[in-house]
Amino acid sequence: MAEPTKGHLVFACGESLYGVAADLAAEVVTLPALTRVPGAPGHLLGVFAHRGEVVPVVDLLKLLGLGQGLEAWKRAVLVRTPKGALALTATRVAGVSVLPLGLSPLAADGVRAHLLGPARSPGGEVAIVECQGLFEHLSRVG
Amino acid sequence: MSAVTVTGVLLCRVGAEQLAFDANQVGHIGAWEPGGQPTAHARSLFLMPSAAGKQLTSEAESLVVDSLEVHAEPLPRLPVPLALASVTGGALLGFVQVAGVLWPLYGLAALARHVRQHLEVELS
Repeated sequence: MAEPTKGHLVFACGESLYGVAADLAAEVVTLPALTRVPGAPGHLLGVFAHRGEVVPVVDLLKLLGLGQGLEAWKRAVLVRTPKGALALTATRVAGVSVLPLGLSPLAADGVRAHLLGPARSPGGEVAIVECQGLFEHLSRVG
Repeated sequence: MSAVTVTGVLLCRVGAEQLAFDANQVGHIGAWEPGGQPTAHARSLFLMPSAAGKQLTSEAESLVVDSLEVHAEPLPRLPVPLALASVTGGALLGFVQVAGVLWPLYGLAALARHVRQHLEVELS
């Protein structure tokens, strides 16, 4: 029997590819000037208003400890979960790929526990962002 | 569910950053100069040194900002995203949008207390 699969929006952030389930990826946005929120952790770059909602912008590189990120990210993937929206910084959108479900977390705990994979896509290996878990993780770490 | 509105907001500048307060929470506004009575400075939130500005007072707590203006029209208060709910000790009440710009709206006493208790000690 074929393993279950699902459409994912695949995007690059730095050197790596990430995927978010297509039904949670609301849109790719060009980031406006962000409002900084004092006291927020370094991976939360600021917020912007989008269709009447305040959306926090998460620098994936900083969150994953992969570098300092960019001074001015231009684009982000807006992800909508039942508990709210997040914008994940992106350098490039690679397209939509059908990726397998049921992959294992990249780590047992911490933020990488909410990355699954790696999955193979036409562009290379993809870490699938488990959005709801990531959202809850970010809400806990503040 | 109807949106919460705030009528009367102080839009405060702190360096290039911005903070907002519900004007109804502010009991007194005065001038603060370097060498004046020690008080909490919003500049600490952005790791900037204190500077002359306006001192806002509420419930025996006060906070100095660089400058301010009053926005008198009612504004919808946008809720705080969960990822930011606990920053600055829960002093962040929401956001207001003025002329397309998003301003974080704080409880003045709670933010001043947070700065006094957590930040100025670290900077001294």
